Formats: sequence, C-alpha cells, structure tokens
Amino acid sequence: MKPEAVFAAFRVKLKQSTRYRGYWISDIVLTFFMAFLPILIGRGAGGTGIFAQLTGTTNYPGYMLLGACAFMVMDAPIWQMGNWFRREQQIGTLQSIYLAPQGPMEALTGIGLFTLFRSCIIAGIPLCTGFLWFHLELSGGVILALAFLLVGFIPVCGLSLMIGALILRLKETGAILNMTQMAFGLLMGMWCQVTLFPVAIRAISYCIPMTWINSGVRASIMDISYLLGPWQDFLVLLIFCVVMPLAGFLIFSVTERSVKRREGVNLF
Amino acid sequence: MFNSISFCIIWFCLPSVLIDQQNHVRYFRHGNKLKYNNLFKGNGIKMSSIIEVWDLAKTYRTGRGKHRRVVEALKGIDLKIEKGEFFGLLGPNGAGKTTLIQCLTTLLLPTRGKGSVCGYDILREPQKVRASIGCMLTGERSIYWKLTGEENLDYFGALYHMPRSQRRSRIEELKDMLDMQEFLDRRVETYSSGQKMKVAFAKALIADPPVLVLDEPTITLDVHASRELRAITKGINRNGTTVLYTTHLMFEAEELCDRVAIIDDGVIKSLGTVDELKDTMGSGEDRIIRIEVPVVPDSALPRIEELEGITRCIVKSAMDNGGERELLLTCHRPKDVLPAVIKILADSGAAIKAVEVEPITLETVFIRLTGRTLEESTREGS
Repeated sequence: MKPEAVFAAFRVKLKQSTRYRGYWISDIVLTFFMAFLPILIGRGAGGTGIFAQLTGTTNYPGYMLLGACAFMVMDAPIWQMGNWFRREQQIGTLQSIYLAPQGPMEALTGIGLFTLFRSCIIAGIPLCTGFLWFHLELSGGVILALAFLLVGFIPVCGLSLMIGALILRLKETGAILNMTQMAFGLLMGMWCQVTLFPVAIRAISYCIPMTWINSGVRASIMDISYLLGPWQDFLVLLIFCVVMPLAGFLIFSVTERSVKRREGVNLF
Repeated sequence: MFNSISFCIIWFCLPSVLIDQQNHVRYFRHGNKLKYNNLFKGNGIKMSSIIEVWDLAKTYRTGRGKHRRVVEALKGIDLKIEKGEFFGLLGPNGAGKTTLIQCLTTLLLPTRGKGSVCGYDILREPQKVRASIGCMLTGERSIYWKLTGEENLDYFGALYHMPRSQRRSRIEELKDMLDMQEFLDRRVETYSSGQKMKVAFAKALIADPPVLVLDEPTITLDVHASRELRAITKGINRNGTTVLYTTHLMFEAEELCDRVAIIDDGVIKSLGTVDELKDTMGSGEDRIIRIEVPVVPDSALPRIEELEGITRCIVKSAMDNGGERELLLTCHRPKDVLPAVIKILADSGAAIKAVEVEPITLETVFIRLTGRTLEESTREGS
C-alpha cells in the first residue's frame, strides 16, 4: 500500500465533495440537528431530574452534545466507506478501481482518511458552537477524549469494511445503512447509559467499539463513570483496534472473492 | 494476511509509514521503449506468449427455485496471444468475449482453467497481472465526471504507483497523443461522448502498460472519432504494445487485427489471421466471378461450363453498363478456374473488359461459422 495512492484517493474525494453544492453545509447542519434537538426537547420537557438518574450527570446539554458528535464521527465511516462501494458501482468507476494493481484497498484507505477529516469538521463545528451556546464548561481530560475518538476511528473503519462487504454482496445501501445507523446510535448509548439496557442488549452493546468510544469521550470530559475505568476502557478500545480491521479485512476478502466468483464486482 | 496487516498498520501510523509491496511492478519509461522491472522474472510460469489461456471456463448460476438456470459463458477456451500482436476478439453479445476479458483482467474468477498475462498467473498473481494491463472496459463510465480529465488521469496514475513527476509528463504526452489540450482541464461532465471516451482511453494508457485491453472502444464514437481512435491504437501497437481488442464491427477487425478469434456461445469457433480465415472459406464455399465482356461467343459457353470446378455459368445483361454482357460464374476456387476461363474467352475472340472475384469478407466467415450475421446475433443478444 503506497501512501501516495492513498492521499490521491483522499484528494479526489475531497475535490468531489467540494463540487457538490451544499455537501459540507448540509452535513454540518445535520450534526446541529442531531445534537440540539434532543437538548432543546429535553429542556422543554423539563426532564433533568430523571436524566441525572439515567446518565449520572445533570449536564443534559453537554451529555447529548458529546453523544451526538461522537455518533456523527463514528457514523461517518460507515456511511462514507460502506456506501462508497455502492456509489462507485453505480457510477461505473468501481471496475476501474478494481483494475488498479492494489485493487480497492488504497482507494478505500484514502476514503477513510477523508472521512476522518470530514468528521473532525462536521463534529468540531457543532461541538464548539454548542459549548458556547449552552455555556458549557470543559472539565476533565480533553486530550484523553480526543484519544478515545481518534483511536476509536480505527475499529470503526474495520466495522465499515464489514458493512461494505455486506453492501457489495447485497448491492443495497439505503436499508442497510439506515438500519445500522439506528442500531448503532441506540447500542452505543447516544441517548442514555448502556448500563441501563437489559443484559442481552448490553452484551451486544459492549461488542461494538462505538460504545466504548462514546462512553470514554463523555466520561473523560464530563467526569461521569467509565464502563470499566479510564485505562481499562482504553485497553478494550486498543483490542478492538487490532481485531476489527483484521476481521473486517478478512470478511471483506472472502465476500469480494465470492462476488468475483459469481458475477463480478461491477454488476449492479 | 500481509495485506490485512498493512491495512491495520497504515491506520495506526498514517501518514508516515511506507509500505511498498509493488516495487516489482513499477514502470519506467526510457524514451519510447518501455522497460519494467522484473516483469517477466521469477514468476514460475514458462512464458512463450504474453497472454495464455488454458481450458478457461466460466459458469454463472442465475435465478432461484424453478427459474434456476446455469449459463456456460465460457466452455473451456484455449488461446495464446503473442507479444506485440494486435488481437481481435469478434463475437455477438453474449458470446463470452467480455467474460473472457474479465477473467483475464482478474475482475472475475473462472470456474475452471488457467490463464496468464505477461507470465503472471491470473489466479495466483492478480496484482501483477493488473499492473501489466491497461483497460478500457466500460468506456465513459470508467471515469469520474465531477473531476477534470487531468485529475482523473492523475488519480489513476497514482493508483498505478507512478511518481508525481512521471504522472505529469505522461499526462502531457497523452494530451498531445490524443489531442486533448483543449478540454482536459475541464470537468468531464461538460465533455462530449467522444471526449469522455478519449479520457477513458488515456486512463488505460496512463501507466504505459505492455498489454492494452479494449472492449468495443468505438461503440459510442462518431465516424471521425472512431477512425482517429483506431489509428492511435494501431500506432500504439506498432510501438510494441500488445492489444486485445473486442468489437462487433467486422471492418475494424479486418483493418486492425493481426489475428482474430471468432467467439460464439462460449467457444472459439475459429482463430487465425484475417486472410487465413478467409482462405478457410475459400475451400468450402461457392464464389462468384464476374467477367465483363461486350459479347459472349456461343462456342465459349459450353467449354466454360465443362470446366472442372465450375458449378454455374450465367450470361446476363448488365443494365448499368450500357447493356453490355456479363458472365457470372459460380465456383469453389476462383484461382484454379480463372486462367482456363480467360484462355477460352480469349481463344473465342471475346474482348474481356473487367474481371472481378466477389471478395470474401470477415462477415462471410462469421456467417458460415455461426450460421447468422453479426447484426442478427447482436440483436438477439440485446
């Protein structure tokens, strides 16, 4: 894998994104909606008391804002990388990518890099705006929170590769991505602590990296409890960092081979 | 496994890590002559041809339940293409030519059989195979319409691991070669079909590969653009690039190809140079000889009819030729009977104005091999 090819894919994706009017604006606005709507509704409903019981903090806006931004950062690779296969397939360029010596891996890594860059912008702007708007104070380890986010991005990319494989096989994006988006949003504890879930759902929740990332970010900034402890949570995330990309690559390779055996990658 | 590890590492350490698995397939141009490192070395296959295919078969399963159907797209194809050859693959829609190309370019895994490109096994060394091939398969859909032509070429050059400076000089070369100076800096979405096809063609040439695979490249082009593209392709072939060219158009195959394979129903029906294919027709089919003479002497006709090889002899008035006579002879081998016919006519005092042997075209060969015209086959396929 050559970094030059990876950065070329990053540049191409960035250029393409700037050539669709409203691409960036709508993405940033969406994050505002994701974060601000529950906050404003929550304030209107006056549910602060129950909220403290559910989350371990009375800082309702901060909790929701961080959850929404973590969700947007984690959701981006799933959309960008998973949807990438389908989009390239539909416009006809997937075959050209597959004809390159390294196949799609370099281009996909470039897309991952672009996603990271995009996530920083679409989560960073609402986060800063939200903190100013709701007069929130940053306490605790901001650097640790950033570390949770950045390190957490790696296993999420692995997970995206698995979803990409599913999309490559089923040739369907809308339903799969919407379903995974809703499911991951709930399971990662965007709206409440995962410790409140029934045991079975909690077990599933612990198996996805987003739960640990979300919990880590909130806990390190807001001084609420970690799932296991600061370093234990980080260690779990590091294990995900090794397991998920490998599993993602393995599942993707097997699916890709099966697709190549059946009808070829370009058929849609 | 190695790829999966590199995928993890690059995520951990981007952008400082340099992992180079592909040094052995990087291209370097020296003047007009292409040299590439180790492309033919140590690959385990004894190479005599640049493309070789042994018993290649591909079976698709379509539908479910009662509608389940097995389609044999390729039924065990054997093929060898020599280095520097312009090879044509001729066949109707659904004949199996695109499947064959997809197997050779590693986009599709064959059900059975083997193949190699530049000595690299298409199953075991797909990366090296892809590095050796420049492809234009889906035409204008193979490039990004939101990018400029130049950005497209730069991107695909980078995916072929060409250094930036080399990419730039190659783009300049291609600009001149394909006459793209005027539009290459505009977005592809503003191009005409011909311009899009040119960029797609340039994309196939960006890494200056030893093998060029073109799947019906002129299908959406107008007459002028098609002629231009054919001339450029022939020029590239003259410089040493092996070309595998699929087409529906007989005249293209006749004009361009050193050898042609007629493929139908997943089988190569015939293979050889255009002349060889026509010669095989010559031995088995009736041909018409048209001899223009003002008067056909009565004594000459019976002698001509008695000649061995002549199956029919008709005298007719050619209305478009001032009412002059025309002798139409049907025979198997015109070369064998023509001297004797001319001698008989000359001995009888007939003044021969013109002699024409109806030419055998590749279309005639195709009809004989497949039992239908290419036009009919294409209509059936679509």
